[in-house]
Amino acid sequence: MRILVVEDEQAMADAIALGLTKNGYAVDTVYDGEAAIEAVDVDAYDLVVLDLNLPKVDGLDVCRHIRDNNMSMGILMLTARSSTDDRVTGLDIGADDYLIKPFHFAELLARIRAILRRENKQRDVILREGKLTLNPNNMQVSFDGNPLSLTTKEYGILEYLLVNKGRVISQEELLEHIWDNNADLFSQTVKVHINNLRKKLDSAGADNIIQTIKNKGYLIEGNSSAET
Amino acid sequence: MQKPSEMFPKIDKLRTFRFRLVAWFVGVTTLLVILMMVGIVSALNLTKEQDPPPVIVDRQAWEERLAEQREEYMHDLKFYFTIGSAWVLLIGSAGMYVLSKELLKPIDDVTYLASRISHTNLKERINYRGPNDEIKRMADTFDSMLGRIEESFEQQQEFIQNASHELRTPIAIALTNIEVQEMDETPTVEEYRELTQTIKASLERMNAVNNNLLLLSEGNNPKMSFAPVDINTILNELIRETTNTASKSNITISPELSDKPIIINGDIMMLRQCFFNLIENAIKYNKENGTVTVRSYTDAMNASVIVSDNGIGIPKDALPYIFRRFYRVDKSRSRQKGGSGLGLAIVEKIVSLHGGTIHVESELDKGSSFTVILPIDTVSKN
Repeated sequence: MRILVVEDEQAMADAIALGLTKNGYAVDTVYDGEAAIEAVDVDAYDLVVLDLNLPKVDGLDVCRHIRDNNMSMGILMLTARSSTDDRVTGLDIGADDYLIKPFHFAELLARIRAILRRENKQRDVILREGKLTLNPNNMQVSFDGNPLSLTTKEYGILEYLLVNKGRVISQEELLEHIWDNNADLFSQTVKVHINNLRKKLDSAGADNIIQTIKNKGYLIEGNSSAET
Repeated sequence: MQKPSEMFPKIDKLRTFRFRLVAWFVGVTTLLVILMMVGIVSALNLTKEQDPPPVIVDRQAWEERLAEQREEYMHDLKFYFTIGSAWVLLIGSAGMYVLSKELLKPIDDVTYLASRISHTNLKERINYRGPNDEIKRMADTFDSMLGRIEESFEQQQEFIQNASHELRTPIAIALTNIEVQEMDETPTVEEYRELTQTIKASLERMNAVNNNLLLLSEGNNPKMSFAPVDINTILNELIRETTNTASKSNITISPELSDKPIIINGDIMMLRQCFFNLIENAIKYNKENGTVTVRSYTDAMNASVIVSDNGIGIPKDALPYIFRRFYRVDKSRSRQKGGSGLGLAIVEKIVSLHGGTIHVESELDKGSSFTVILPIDTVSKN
């Protein structure tokens, strides 16, 4: 999942970005409202962590811009303002949730997960496909009870495919949602990671969970997910 | 809801008591006067009626009868006087009670309304509608007093909110950095070093905010040590210190200091901070390739320092507020430049502690010019 962090205090923004990266998200950081609008216009983010008090363009205006342009990404407002007015306005113009600074990082992560679940209309916290389970809370992936050791990118790809079960995901879409702007991109990147992921899944016994649809992309079909 | 009499017991009771006493006194006196006049008129009638008959047969018998009649009449008069006055007194007091109650009612209303006003609803007003009398004037004064209280209360709350915000930001930065570091199970020494640097920067920022707030808090005049200081030495040092920062944005600082030293009686640390804030602002709110001019001159009475720039300037409607604590012309822009919104408030405070004055001229997109005038022979304002 790809997250945009918009925060004018650089030390704060960088710490949030680092924390989110450590938790398997692809993160871009901008320090003012103008750059935030440019970023959401260009790239497909799953969620924006948005400080309200921003230079150039106010956070609330960024929020308005996102919703006015029918972008469906989740918005988590960060605010140090003690007045409830901003929070109420923010939620009313389309933000999904808010956190008051200073906050605990664990809470930020939990709220991000909750927003992403809502965004994907996903009730169950743990993603499943047959005997394969993926727990976003602790980044644990296991097959038939045996844990798999995946890299951050492999984890990201698997999570994205599981969340979008039944839909063919193109290489471009994976690049957009799993890699941040600083990534060194070339066409083989996705293929290499998919291959490594498949090898790990195969050796655990989960053969052919990820299908290749020629000239279109990748798919986790999701017919066997009926088991509960 | 508190009863009005509980809210202002002294004022209420005292007023009521005095008012009623006067009303009673006036009422009873009037009645007694009326009664006496009735008695006198009757007595006069009696005397008239008792003119000696034209033919007196038995003078002694007539006089006896007259005395008897008089005694009888006096007895009657006493009786009626007692009954009458008791009756009148009763009716009079009842009337006076009702009357005084009626007269005091507007005060009661005002008191009741006043009792509803607390710090949580300072917006309430009595809005007394009635003739322009003592009570109306009292209610109006009360309303305008409430207005002033509300305003200062709001300012105070805003100040606390701003101060808390200024302190909360570095706390948030430190906390987030620590928590993100904690997620790493095997952090390197280098990562720890970075973390302690971030925390140190946050603590320094909090310390600076705290010191500034202390300096600015009203009624708290800081300790000052007055001694002769040379303004030009201070300015020269500051120019040297800030040249580096200025050159990063290609800004030139051009000093135009007077040839001779300008010695005034002042607190050197404070004056340094005062001029530092002015020069720093002139750099911060300048444009690329801009100039900051620092000028100093003196006459017999005053030392003057002018810090001017050809930067972004201050909008006209913002000018009256720039010395207010936490006022920011563009809050986002100056926050990005690391301002807390206290710089100019501190400058003004320091200047006034030295018995001086400061004024500003500014034009949007052309630049600003701050003139500080300090008396050479400063008397400590402490």
